[in-house]
Amino acid sequence: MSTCIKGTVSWECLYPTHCSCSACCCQGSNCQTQCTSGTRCTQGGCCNGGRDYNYDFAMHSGNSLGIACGDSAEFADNNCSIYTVGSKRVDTIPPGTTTVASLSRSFFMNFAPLSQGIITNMLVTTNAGCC
Amino acid sequence: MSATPGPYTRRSFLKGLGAAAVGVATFLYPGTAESESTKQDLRIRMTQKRGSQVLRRPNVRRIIGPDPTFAEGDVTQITAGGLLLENPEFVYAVRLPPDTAVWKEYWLTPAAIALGDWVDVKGTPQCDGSLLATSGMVFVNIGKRSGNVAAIEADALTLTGPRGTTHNIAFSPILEVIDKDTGATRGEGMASLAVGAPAGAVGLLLPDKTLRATRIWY
Repeated sequence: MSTCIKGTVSWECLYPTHCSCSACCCQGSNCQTQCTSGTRCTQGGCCNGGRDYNYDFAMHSGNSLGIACGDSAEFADNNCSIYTVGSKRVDTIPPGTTTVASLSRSFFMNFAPLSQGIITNMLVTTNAGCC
Repeated sequence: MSATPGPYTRRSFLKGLGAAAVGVATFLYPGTAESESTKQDLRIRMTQKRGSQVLRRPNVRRIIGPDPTFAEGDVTQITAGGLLLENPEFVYAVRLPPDTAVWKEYWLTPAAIALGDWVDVKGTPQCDGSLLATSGMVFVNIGKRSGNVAAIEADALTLTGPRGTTHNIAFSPILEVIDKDTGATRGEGMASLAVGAPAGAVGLLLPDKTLRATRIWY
C-alpha cells in the first residue's frame, strides 16, 4: 500500500563535512558514526555540504511512511512531478526518529531558488502515481 | 517542468569529465580547438539510457550521481564572462553573461562575485563541458540555519541546532518573515516567535559564520 506524507522541505547537510553525495558522510543503522571519505554508506545520508556546515534533515516523517531504513522514496511537488534523487530513509539523532531526506541543493533548485529557503507543500511518497 | 531524457549515471558523468576538462581549458584560453570526440562524448552522456531502467513516466525525473546542471565551489578564477569553481571533488567552468541575476544577499550582477566566494549555480551544460548559468539561479555565500530559538533581540537571534551548535542570526535590511507551513508573509514579523520554538533562516553567510538572514520562517 502506498504511503504519502506532506510537509516542508529544505536543503540540508547531514554532517559537517565536505563530502558530496558520491562519498560517504555517515554510517551505521542510526547514522551515528561519521565515516571516512571514499567509503560508501548504505543507510546514512550524504549531501553536497558546500561550505556551510549545517547538519539537519530535509523532512521528518516519523514512522508513518512505512519505508525501511535505506530504502527509497520519491519527492513530488503539487503537480506530482516526481523527482527521485537518491532520497532515502535515514535514521537521525536521537535514534529511531525516522526521516526521509533529500540532501542536495541541486535537488532543491529543481523546485525553487535557494534564497527561498524552504519549499512548502512538498510530498514524499512511495506511490509513483503520487498521492 | 520538462522531462530529462534519461537518467544521468555516475559512469556517464565520469565519461564526460574529459569534456569538462576541455571546457575548463577552452574557458580559460578561448580559441582552443574542441575535439569531435569530446562533443560526441557529451552527446552520449546526455542521451544515455541505463538498460531496462529507461524511464517511461514523462514527469519523473531521476538523477543518479552528480547533477550536470548544477555546480558549486569556491571561486578560484574570474574571467571575462565567467569563473572557475573548485570543491574537493570537481572543478567547474561556469559562464555568466553580464545580465545574469546573481544573489549575494541582494540581487546583483556577476560583478559582485569575488575570489574566494562560495557559489551554487544551476544552468545548462554546454558542449565544451562548461555550465551556462541560469539567471536567478546563481547564489553566492548563501547559507541556511535551523534550530530552536535560544534568544531573541531587536536585531538578532540565536538558534540552537539539533546537535547543540549555536547559530548567530543577524537581520538583513530586506528581511522577510514567513509562515513555515504556508510560505505566506507574517505581518507580525517575529512578534509571535518565542524562545524554545523551532525556526529557520536563509541568508548571506558572513566570514565569522554569522548568517545575515534575508528570510526567517517559523
